Amino acid sequence: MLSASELTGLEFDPPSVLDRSRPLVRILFVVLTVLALLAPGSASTAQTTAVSDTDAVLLTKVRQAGLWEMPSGMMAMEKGSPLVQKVGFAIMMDHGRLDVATRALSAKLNSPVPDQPSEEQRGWLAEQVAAAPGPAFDRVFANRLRAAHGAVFAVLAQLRAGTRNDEVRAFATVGNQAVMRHMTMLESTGMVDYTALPTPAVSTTAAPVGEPLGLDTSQIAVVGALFLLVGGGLFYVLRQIKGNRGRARATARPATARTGGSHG
Amino acid sequence: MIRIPRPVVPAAVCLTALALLTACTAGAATTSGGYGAGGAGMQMPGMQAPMTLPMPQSITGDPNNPAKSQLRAAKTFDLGLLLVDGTGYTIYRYDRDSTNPSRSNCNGACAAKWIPVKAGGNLAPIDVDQSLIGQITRADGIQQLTLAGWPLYHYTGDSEPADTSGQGLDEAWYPIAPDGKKITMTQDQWRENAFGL
Repeated sequence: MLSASELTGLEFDPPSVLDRSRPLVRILFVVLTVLALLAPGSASTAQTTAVSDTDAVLLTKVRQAGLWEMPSGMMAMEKGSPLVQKVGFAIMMDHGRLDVATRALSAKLNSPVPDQPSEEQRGWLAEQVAAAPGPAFDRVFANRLRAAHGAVFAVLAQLRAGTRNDEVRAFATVGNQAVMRHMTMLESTGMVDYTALPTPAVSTTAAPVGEPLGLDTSQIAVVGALFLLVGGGLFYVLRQIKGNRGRARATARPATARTGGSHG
Repeated sequence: MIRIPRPVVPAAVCLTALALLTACTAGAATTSGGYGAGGAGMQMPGMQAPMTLPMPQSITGDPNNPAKSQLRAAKTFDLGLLLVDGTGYTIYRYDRDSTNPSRSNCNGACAAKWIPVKAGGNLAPIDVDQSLIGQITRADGIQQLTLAGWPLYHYTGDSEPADTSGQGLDEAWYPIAPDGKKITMTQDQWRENAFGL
């Protein structure tokens, strides 16, 4: 303690000022360190909120799924066997619910969606139009919709897992549950030929190794600043307690006795 | 040197540092929540297209379809049981109507926006309790279907099956469930508690 006061060249100041200035200097140092650490990091904390290309793909996929599955459902209500009629109605209703959410989110995020099903989907619709009512229609309906749902399911799962956008994540949660429900309903018709579905494209070689945590400088700086703050605070409190004891002793003795002590 | 009371200086310094810290972290948290709310009035017609999709039409597009008078219960994945017509369009009730006796308080301009569900279709209801279904003669002479006493309506703003765009309008219009209760839950509320957590 004494050597520290000698280095600052304050040893001839009255001891009361010396006692007060040292924690002040220390805490100022902490604050300056905090500021220095945060200054470069603060710029990188701003995150982009724009809709990514993959988010736009999700909106497009769900929108287009509705655009061909709602007519499919309606056709199923007219041409399907009794069970397929029910499944068609349920799918049409769910896609109505999903489509409302899709259009609302598309408008909110300013990410336009198409008004038409894809070429491929139009082909599937044409197949259903051409199919004879009853079992023939049932088979086309169940297999085409089941295959399409399988493809959308994979897209939804990836987006649900990886999107950076809170709204899109919530939307993907809803969509994921709806698609799961539809696959199960379509399978309940007993018409789905699983061998005709594409085989899963999942790596079987090894479990993927997790990427290292991408901590950026701002995060490290904030954690560091917190450490310094808590540490500094604790140090100061301890010093304060010690200082109070020392002052209590010092008031019992004359002030000259303490300054004389520095020569010893 | 200016003399400041001993406990004040470090306390102030610590508070300043804390304030700076929270300001920085809060700034990072809030930026990810805000979106440019552009394009709110965007229209997605979808039904007018080069290829004519056999899509169910709204009440304004297909007012004389007998299926518009057919009552059907639909089990939606988010809102639960919902009363719709035979083409899947949502059916509403109006809080300002009375049920005992059944009477509609939606006339004139109101009835142009909220189209009464006409009675007289010969399609049997599906998954709806027949004993709850009734009908009234409106002030304009039209025979209107009722469910559990509630006069039933279509909303002209709905553009596809299961659309519930009229929900909560005037704080009086709600989709009706097959038991006659109004549906106040929205998809957002359902989503927040989808797993009952």
